[in-house]
Amino acid sequence: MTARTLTDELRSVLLFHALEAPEPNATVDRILNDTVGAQTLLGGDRLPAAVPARTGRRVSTQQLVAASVVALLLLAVAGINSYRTRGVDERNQSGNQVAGAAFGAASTTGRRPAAGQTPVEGSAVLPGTATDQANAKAAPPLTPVYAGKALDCATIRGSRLVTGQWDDYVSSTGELYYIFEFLCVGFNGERSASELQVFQQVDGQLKYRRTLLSPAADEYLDFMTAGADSARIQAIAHRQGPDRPAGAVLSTTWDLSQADPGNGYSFTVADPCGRTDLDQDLAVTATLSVVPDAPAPAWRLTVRNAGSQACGLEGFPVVRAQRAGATLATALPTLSGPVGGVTKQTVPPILVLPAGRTATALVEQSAAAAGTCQSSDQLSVTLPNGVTLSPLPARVSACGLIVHPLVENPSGSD
Amino acid sequence: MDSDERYTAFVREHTPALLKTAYLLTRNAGEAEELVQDTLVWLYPRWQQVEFAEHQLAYVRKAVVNRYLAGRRRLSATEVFFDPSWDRAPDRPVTRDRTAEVDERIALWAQLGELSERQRAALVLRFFHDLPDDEVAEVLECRVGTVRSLISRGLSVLRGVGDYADDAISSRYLRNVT
Repeated sequence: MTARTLTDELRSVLLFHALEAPEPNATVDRILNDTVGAQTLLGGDRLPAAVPARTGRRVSTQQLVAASVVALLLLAVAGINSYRTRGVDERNQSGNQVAGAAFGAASTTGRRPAAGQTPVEGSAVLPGTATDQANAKAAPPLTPVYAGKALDCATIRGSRLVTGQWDDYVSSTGELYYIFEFLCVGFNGERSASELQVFQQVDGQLKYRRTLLSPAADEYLDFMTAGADSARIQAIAHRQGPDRPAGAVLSTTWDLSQADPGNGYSFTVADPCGRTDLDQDLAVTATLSVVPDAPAPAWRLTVRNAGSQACGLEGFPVVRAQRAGATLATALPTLSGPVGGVTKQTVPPILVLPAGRTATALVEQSAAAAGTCQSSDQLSVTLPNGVTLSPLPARVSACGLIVHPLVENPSGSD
Repeated sequence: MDSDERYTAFVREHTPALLKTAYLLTRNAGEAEELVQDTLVWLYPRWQQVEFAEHQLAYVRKAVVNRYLAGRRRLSATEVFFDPSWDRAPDRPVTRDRTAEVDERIALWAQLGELSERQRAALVLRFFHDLPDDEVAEVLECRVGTVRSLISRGLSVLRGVGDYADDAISSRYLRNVT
């Protein structure tokens, strides 16, 4: 009998054949080309030189994956625009449900192109009107290149620079201008301040002309539209200020016929819910309840603003199924699932929670989770802004968990 | 360092190791490349989840294994491959060695290919990555008892390939064969 043991031999065989694994450089190049490279294209930079696809039986799968990544990101960018317009519609129709009163709205209206000017499709239609959707315009012919350094996407986890809303207008001298919003959007839906820049199309190129609104910490643009020689923005004051309550709807207009239209006003988002390092009462509590009659196990995670002032929330909570303090699984963030979630827009909504109000996120277990899974004894919940709440006792099978964004509706769906 | 840079650094650093794991699972260089590529591309928009994990490489390795197992299920149900030997044959031609020892190793590798995907995954994780049973269970998303059963049944099959001395580890698993 040989002295060799089965496990030693098995280890040797595995180690030996592991050396036959493919050389990694080509795979690394393809991965980065399909991910970071594709992302770079969205940011306006040049896509790195394409790496020849690996010869294989299922090359189409790679192409589909890459195309899907690009398509999803394009949808996300487009969704920011549609969300904001829709959000404004809803707020206008609901009579400003959030606390506070309209601020300065009466002083601002978009203007249609003056007689004799070249009408620009869609440029004179304010969002929130019935004709807005009917007059949806085509995308600009060129992709703007962000001209500035003020936006720092590194401050948001996993974020990248995207072009948000845009509009065009014709000056009194007949020149076509575009106004673009630039912002950083993280994978969990968190977004940065917005910067508005004006570009002019000259000789087939977009030339930077001026910055209308510079980004500042926590500033966020709600919607924007441009008319003839004017641009209007609207925002929700997420943070209480000396001259406005949290939740006030703010708007302003620039007269773009002026050489210096000014910088408009600045506005800020709400202080993040649950933060304890700020000199504010931003306490939150969380509860978990089972969704009855759901096609698969599902729970509603409800976050209540237990503080004394409004606070802001946006994005996906991080939900971990834990047992004896050890994490068994982390719920995968998805916009929606069989039970519900965010289905009417492609980015998580931004919420301002007045004191006492709640936000709800659905946690679901996908049907694919059938089988043997460990059970948790608690769920750990971290808000999108990084605040970790007290664990919630919960016996949850730690397989196939997905979580949807926080929404205002107590059902967990938008 | 921003998220893209961290992702890039991870891909550059760990793709070689992930390819080794994938190759041991798939036994095919092209399949291994595709498995690792698909997994890392899929994880890219979810990279925050990876960064939340205590052990990022373990998290990604788990994704590779799960994708492999899920892919096998999908393939068996929906896809037809033109190469009928893809599932069994290693990518490179097997060269027979004159010594019985080498022959046994070749046979052992071939026999590994005959195991079920979950058995092979359990053996690779246990004996190539030296993961304890509970960590293998975490990767395979099953109970520890199931892992021990997978390993014991796999070892039982492999034991028939050659004449091996008893050892404590395999004996412990093989006692569990039912």
